[in-house]
Amino acid sequence: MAQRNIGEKLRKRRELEQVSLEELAKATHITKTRLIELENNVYDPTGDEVLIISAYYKEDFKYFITNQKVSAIEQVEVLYRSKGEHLSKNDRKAIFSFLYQCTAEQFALDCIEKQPLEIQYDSYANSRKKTTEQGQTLATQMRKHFDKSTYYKTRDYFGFVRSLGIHVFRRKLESNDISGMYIEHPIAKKCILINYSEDTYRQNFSLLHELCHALLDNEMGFNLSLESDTKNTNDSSDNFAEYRANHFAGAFLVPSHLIEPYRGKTIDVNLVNNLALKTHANPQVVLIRMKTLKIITKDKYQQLKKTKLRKEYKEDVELLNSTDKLKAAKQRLIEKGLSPYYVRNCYEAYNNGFISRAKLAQMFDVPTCKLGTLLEPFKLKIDSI
Amino acid sequence: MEDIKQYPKCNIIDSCSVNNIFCSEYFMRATLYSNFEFCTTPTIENELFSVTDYTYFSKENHDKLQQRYEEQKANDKVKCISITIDDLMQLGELSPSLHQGEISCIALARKINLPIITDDKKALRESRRLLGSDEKAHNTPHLFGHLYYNKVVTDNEATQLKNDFVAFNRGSMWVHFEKYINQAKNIAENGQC
Repeated sequence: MAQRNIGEKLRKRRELEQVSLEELAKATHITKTRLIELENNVYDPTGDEVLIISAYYKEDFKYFITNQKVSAIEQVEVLYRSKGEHLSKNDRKAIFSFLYQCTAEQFALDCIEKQPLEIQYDSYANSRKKTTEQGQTLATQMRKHFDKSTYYKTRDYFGFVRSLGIHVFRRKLESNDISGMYIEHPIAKKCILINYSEDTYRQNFSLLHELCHALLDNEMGFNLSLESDTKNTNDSSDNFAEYRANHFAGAFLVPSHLIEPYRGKTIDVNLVNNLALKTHANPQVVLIRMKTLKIITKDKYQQLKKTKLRKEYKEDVELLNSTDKLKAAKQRLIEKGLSPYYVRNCYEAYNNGFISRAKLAQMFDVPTCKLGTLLEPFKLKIDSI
Repeated sequence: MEDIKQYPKCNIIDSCSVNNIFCSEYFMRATLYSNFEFCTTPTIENELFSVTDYTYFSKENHDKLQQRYEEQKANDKVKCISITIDDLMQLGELSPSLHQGEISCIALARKINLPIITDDKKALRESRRLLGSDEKAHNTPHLFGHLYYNKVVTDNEATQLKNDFVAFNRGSMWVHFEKYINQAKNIAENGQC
């Protein structure tokens, strides 16, 4: 028996994305009057209306008509209540799009039976306090696996985190406040979104910061990290989860064995920049690690803290080893919120007959007729039938 | 390959089959001449006619297709039938492998017990599985082969159809249509598929 509080769900979903009735009516060709009637439970929607509206919102239609937990709407609602002031309308839409892609990616990976890397780590679930030492220990545990992986050579942190079965996407968000977020989706599980507006090395830090939240702080089911959270080095911070996540990110990016050899040596701008290039972390992160491990004094840190590495030296690992044409195509994808990893896996699911062409197009947020154009730089083909 | 001597007269059509049938005046008229009738859903109509991006499918072609479709709807050769929420629930556990339009067609097919025409191989397989028989889903090249076999479409018209497909950026479909033309010719020459 279908659930009958459909109207409430329709309204909630619309309001979360700050879509007006006029916008929804224009996009779905369902009249405003009819939409009002549906949201007020005056009538039940037709099956087509449910499908059309769910296609517009990129939600599983079952969310609206059953009690099945197929959507992260509950977590998003709590997130928006607590931190919604930081999110523009377009960013809200971007977050829903990201969640859709996470479920789509999970489905594709399940179809092609891609298994995540299983890693043992201490989740500190029974600890009463959150401490920086926990962040450090976790970083050491995770780093061991990273150093043995194929991702180590190119410092492909995004690839490594994805290999753990965590969905990672980047998007240009309008809000400069937001560096990243983590959500626990009922179907897709752990999902991380990184603000692509930040520079590449900063994105690496944000990614690892969110990874720590995903592994250790999933009691709320979400986390939204603001720029100020990821720059917080204050020992007396009230928000130990953020401080622990910062410690984790720093310790993962700049493990102690990489900087210990420089203890007692002259630390200057060149050395700091070289280490930044080696680790794909910003000079600030390298310096904070050195200060934490007392390799440099606080005074030295103050002296060097304005060291900057020029943006053109900061390579985006996802664009490496590509022809100019492929690089441009990948960049377009990433700016659109997709990833080469996502495209390849969804395509593989399609090519092996698990999803239809129209579904693949929906996963890529393009009309079906444009699939060929999107895939052509990757030398992937779509069947005409 | 399916037998081109047989093809059901009433079918549900999804977006890709609407595009393939109505992009060619020849194909469309051949189906009407042979008394084929079609049904679709509001979900499909929404998919087809809410387009705002004309960089691939020109606006002129898009409008042409929509006009042909609307004319045949006015002539009662195409009916748009809604499904209910219960029709969706009747489909049972659906994997997320299909797009909403495809789901609406399968729900309608089950509701009114008609076969589906789709040109997507996954949608074809899923339709046959969910509707319980291979006879419950076909594609447009098969339909074309049937029309060609019954001499409703001549070789000249087949060429025109190919040109129409090219004009609508669907030229890559033609290779599939040719397979059924060859089947028809084989039957005519040898009496077998």
